[in-house]
Amino acid sequence: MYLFFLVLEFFLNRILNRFWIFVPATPVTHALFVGIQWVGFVSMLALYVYSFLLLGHWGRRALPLTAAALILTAMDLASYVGIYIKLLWLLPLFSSLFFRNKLNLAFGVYYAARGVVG
Amino acid sequence: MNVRAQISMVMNLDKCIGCHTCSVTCKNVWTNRPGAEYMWWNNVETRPGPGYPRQWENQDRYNGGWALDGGKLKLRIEIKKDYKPPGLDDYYEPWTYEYEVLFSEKQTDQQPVARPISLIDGQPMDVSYGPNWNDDLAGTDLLLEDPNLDPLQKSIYAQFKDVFMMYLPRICNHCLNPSCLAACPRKAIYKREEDGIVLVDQSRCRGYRYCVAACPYKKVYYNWKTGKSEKCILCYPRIEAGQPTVCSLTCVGKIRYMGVLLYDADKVLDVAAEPDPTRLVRRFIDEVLLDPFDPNIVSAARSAGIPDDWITAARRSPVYKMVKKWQVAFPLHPEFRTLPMVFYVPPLSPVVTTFERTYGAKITDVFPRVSELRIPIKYLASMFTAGDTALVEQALKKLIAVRIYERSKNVAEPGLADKAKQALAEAGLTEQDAEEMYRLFAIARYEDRFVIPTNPKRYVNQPQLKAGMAGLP
Amino acid sequence: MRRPELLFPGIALAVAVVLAALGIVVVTAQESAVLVKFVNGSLPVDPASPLWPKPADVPLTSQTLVYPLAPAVENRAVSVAAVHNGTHIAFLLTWKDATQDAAKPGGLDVFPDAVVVQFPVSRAQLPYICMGTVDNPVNIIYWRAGVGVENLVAGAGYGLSPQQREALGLQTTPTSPVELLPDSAQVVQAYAVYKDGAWYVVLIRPLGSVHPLMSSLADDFSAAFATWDGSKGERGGLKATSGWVQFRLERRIFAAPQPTQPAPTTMTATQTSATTVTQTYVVETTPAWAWVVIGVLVALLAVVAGLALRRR
Repeated sequence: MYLFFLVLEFFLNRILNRFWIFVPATPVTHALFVGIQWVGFVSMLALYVYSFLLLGHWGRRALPLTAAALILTAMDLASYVGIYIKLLWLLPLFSSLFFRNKLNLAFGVYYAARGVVG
Repeated sequence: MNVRAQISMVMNLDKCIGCHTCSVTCKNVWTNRPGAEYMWWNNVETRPGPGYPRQWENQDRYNGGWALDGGKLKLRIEIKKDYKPPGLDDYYEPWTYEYEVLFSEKQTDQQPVARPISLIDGQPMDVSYGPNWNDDLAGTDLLLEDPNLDPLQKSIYAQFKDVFMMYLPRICNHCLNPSCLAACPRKAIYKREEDGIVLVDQSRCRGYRYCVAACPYKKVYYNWKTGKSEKCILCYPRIEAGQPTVCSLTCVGKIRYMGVLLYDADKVLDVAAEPDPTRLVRRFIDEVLLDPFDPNIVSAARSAGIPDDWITAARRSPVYKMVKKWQVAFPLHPEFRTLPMVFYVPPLSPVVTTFERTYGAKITDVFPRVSELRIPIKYLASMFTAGDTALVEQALKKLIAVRIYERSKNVAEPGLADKAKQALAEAGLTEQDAEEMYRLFAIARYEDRFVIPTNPKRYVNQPQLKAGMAGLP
Repeated sequence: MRRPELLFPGIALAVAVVLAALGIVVVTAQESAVLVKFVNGSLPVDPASPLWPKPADVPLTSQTLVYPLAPAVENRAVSVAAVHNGTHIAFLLTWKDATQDAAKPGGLDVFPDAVVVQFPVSRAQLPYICMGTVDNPVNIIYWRAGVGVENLVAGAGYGLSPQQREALGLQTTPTSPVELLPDSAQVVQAYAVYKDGAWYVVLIRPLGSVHPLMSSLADDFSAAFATWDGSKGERGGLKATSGWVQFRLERRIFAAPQPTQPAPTTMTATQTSATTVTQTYVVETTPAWAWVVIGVLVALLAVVAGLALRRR
């Protein structure tokens, strides 16, 4: 289910709505576009809530990870008030310490590299 | 076959006296404006010399014209990816004089002096270069900058032994394959379908100057005041009314001839891409330019929409006679592959009278052999036929033959008539040809020199004009 | 207790729909946007003013497809900072340029350094990035060193009938896809400084639109940028361009909708044309710090809910 939301959000928000400029603008395609934006929006929020639900569900043993996620998210959100410390890219790497498998490590390294370079 | 008509020009360099009247009248009519002070849509160059702008013929320096890139025709600016146009130093900083000082200066022991002031910023300036500086008693060392002088001629020239000179007046050639038109990414330059005049649309131009860089003759100029590029317009308002251009009309030496040339638009790119440059001129004249007396071509022209009075004008055209019939006029630097439509009759050098036997010498001894002419054949070939000296020799032989023939009609010298017949035969001319050439070159009236049909504005109801376009993009 | 595999997504979805309906946005999953800070009073024209927020670096790159091609692919960046005061918006564009090239009399081979900001005219859909299309034009602010600043529209020209063009104050027959907006719409001011190998250009324009083909920036908008380096002979299509960058207007702290402030005297003195700026009510909803609080609270609540729903 989580994967479904992830893929949906990615597909809608990052792929489909960017290529939509090549679709000729008519009332129908515009309505479709608005629909894509809204569903993407909802799925993005659902991912956010779902992630933290899962984190809470894992309970005590995942407490460091949960704390790290909350703190990094708060710092990221603080850019609204002018505090530009973006360290959210550390999170996948941190989480790979807890869920040790190759995929996690790969994602962790990838986002860490992006965060360092970007 | 896609027959089109163009108003073309021939300049007989034999008659050019270098008075620059053409330049001055053009400037007073068209480029007497802020931003256009340095422009000379018509300019006259004393050759050998650097020309205007400086060494414009050196395409390694300026990247103008077309070149073959793997057999395909491509703009040199595109091949080199160097789109830089010339700067003010390559042209010259235009100046005038503070004439007012001559009137307003109070009386002193010294004469009042009108200093040169720059037309760019109005400040006094030191004049150090001009548009024909090698002929202004100040720039003789610039003679050697002429790219047409090969090393052998340069050494001869440096010794001042066999120096030669000629005048080269130039305008925009309104080419059949204009590199300026191809270079503009906004399609702001167009070639008119009815008379082949190439124009810059001032409302579309944004002053990018790719055209300035791409023209091998450097006849598009950037107006730094308006921020747009301009060029010779072949006085199209006059042409449309059947009148010659200002430069042609005011020419003191009567060297300019204007007329209609029919050409095959389908052949243009094929000929321009000819790999061997020495064959370019022959192919241009034989394949692209058409014979208006050929019934096939006439019917093709009629079906292409060319009106009958234009076809009549093409038959009477002095340009057709000189370029295609007698083949005594050639395009300027055909190796740039733009197929220019302004042609030049190469100059016969002044008669060399250093023979010991000058007095009493027979006329055929005085007229030098073509190979002994003062102006080196190779120099003329480098300028007009991309190195094909045979073409230039034939043309000069014809000019000499006409002179000998006419002299034989007026001077009773024994044996001259035979010499004239021999010269004509060698040049491949009939007596009628020679007569016609004499009339056209020596004593032509206005009506013979300028055969320009009026523009019937037959394109008025064309859909592309209604949509706001003018001419071909 | 239903299985967590269906319960959690269900809760997440329900909460997400509620949050979406309320207009709550969570920044961590969102693309980064440039925040246009709010300042009270007149907008800064000095690039060194402390009012400018931390700039965002926008990457620029040259096109590599059609003539004219640059001799070498250009990859550079322009840093963008923006502020607004409710009626006008100011952009500070900074980019590195080794030489200062400005148009000058007799500058036949001089190409001025330049920068543009491009906005979509319509909010329905982002236009084609390369200067718009007939159905979806763009509004461009074009600044050139030594020439000044112009407000242009690109793409619209050939899609309008002569009557429409006349009504919009444009020339009846289009001569170019990029056109100057009529004089009444030339409401942009530019202040430029070249210092230590970099250009600092401040562009100020009203937030609202004064012409139907001029874009309104009264709500969050997208913009694209391009620069020209004159010393490399860059002009026309030889330039380095960016993609669409999102901008978010910072709302004011107090929630009541307030009428537009009259432009402060220093600003009106420099405006050369009389403008009727459409009334821009920047609708205030939630203050900035509230987003932070809401976001963290939602996350905390979800964690707690997850904990609570654990199977013993």
